[in-house]
Amino acid sequence: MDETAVKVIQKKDWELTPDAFHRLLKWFDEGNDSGGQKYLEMRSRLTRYFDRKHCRTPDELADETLNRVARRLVEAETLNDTTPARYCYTLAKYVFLEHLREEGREQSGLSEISARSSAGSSVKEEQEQKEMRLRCLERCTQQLDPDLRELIFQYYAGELRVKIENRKALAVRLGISMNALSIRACRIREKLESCLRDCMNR
Amino acid sequence: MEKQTYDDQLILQYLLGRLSDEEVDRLDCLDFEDDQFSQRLQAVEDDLIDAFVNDELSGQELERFNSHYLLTPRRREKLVFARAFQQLRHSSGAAARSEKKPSDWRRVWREPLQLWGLAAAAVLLLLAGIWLVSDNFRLRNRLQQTRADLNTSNPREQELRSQLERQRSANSAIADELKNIKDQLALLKRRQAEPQKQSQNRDPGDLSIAHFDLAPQLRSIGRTGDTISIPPGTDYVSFKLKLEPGENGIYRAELKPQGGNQAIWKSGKLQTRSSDDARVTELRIPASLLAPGWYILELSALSSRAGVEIGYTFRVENK
Repeated sequence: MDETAVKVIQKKDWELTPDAFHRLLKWFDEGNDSGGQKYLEMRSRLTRYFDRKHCRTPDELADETLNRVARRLVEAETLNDTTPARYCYTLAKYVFLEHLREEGREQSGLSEISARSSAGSSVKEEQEQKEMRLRCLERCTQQLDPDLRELIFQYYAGELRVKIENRKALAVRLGISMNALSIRACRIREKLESCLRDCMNR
Repeated sequence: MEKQTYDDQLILQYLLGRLSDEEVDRLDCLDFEDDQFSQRLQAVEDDLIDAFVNDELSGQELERFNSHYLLTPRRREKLVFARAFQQLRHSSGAAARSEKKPSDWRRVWREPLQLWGLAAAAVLLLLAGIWLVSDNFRLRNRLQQTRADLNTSNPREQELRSQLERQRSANSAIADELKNIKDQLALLKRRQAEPQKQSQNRDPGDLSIAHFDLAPQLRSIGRTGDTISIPPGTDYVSFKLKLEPGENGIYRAELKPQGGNQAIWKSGKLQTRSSDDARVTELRIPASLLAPGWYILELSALSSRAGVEIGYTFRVENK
């Protein structure tokens, strides 16, 4: 077996232990206990990064990146020469390049995925999916806190200039900045997306 | 890496894959290191997907969205969510309940009845306001005019009252004068019925009459007449003329200055009557005609063709 391949197999064979995971969380918190939020935020950014690079499996690549960070922490015990964000970004670029070499060109792969996804369902099935999706989303919005539900509906109400005016008025009414309002809305939307995904996968 | 500026348009181009590799690397790193950029990136991405769902994209943006952005399953999943969320909002009426349309001119034009209703109400209010103002103005003018009329009518009323008073006074004076004349007439009538003496009867308020008796001048020349003195303020001189016994006719008298032929006074028909066994007739001559001097009263019978038959000469002297 090629030494490089052995090293890759050894790297991929490494598993994230609870201790390593806790060390990773602590490293992300940088002394301030965030309850795992920093880790989740970094994982989300990694996922979006790989998604922007048109990777088929952005979640897996994000986990791979975080595993490598955790392993490096175990091996080196500390990584003080850079920030967690910069280190994760640098490592993510390496993971992406490796992914390109292993999976071939992304465009052809994605095209095949696109073709497969569009050809696999009939009109009736699509309609059923659509109805189920709507029911799930209704359920997910009902699970939201009433204030958050009202906020997300008002945030996306209207079109074009009206939508902007509505958001300004909403921010004024809530006593927050437009930026803070968009952050709140994005988080609620992300929560709904996750809830819908879980509901559809049941 | 130094932080550089960015805006939503740059982020949009980043998502549509229209930036250089160098700029892409910079923003990739910024997404990890800058929390604010990362949050803004998510917000712009969500708005991009919503814009596609609402058919707000066009041209190259729409082409790049389809050819570059929608290539990954995750992004297509986000698109599915966006469509479902839009459908949920529309079906639940949340859009109508929560949308605020402060200045959307398209909404106004989509509800013409409301627009025309508001316009009609505004016009009615404006007309009502104009009418109220003008009516108020008119009433004020009318009030002022009425007050002015009251002020001008008072002097007029006073003038009329004064005229009325003066007229009443004049009427009263006329009435008094008329009564006075009536009384004098009555006195004269009484005097005519009573025997007269050569005296001055001067009743207060009555005519002043001097009485004299005259005897006829003999037909022969040489007899001088009587001399009478008329008191000042005498109004009339009454002469009782003696006639020859048996003289019973109706006479007429003429007063002439002696030596003159022109009569300065003529009487009416004079009746005769008996008085102290003689026949007499009486006449009254205004005293103003009897300046001092000689006069003759020529008495002639109406039935006689002979002319003057009796002459009475007298002299008036100053008193």
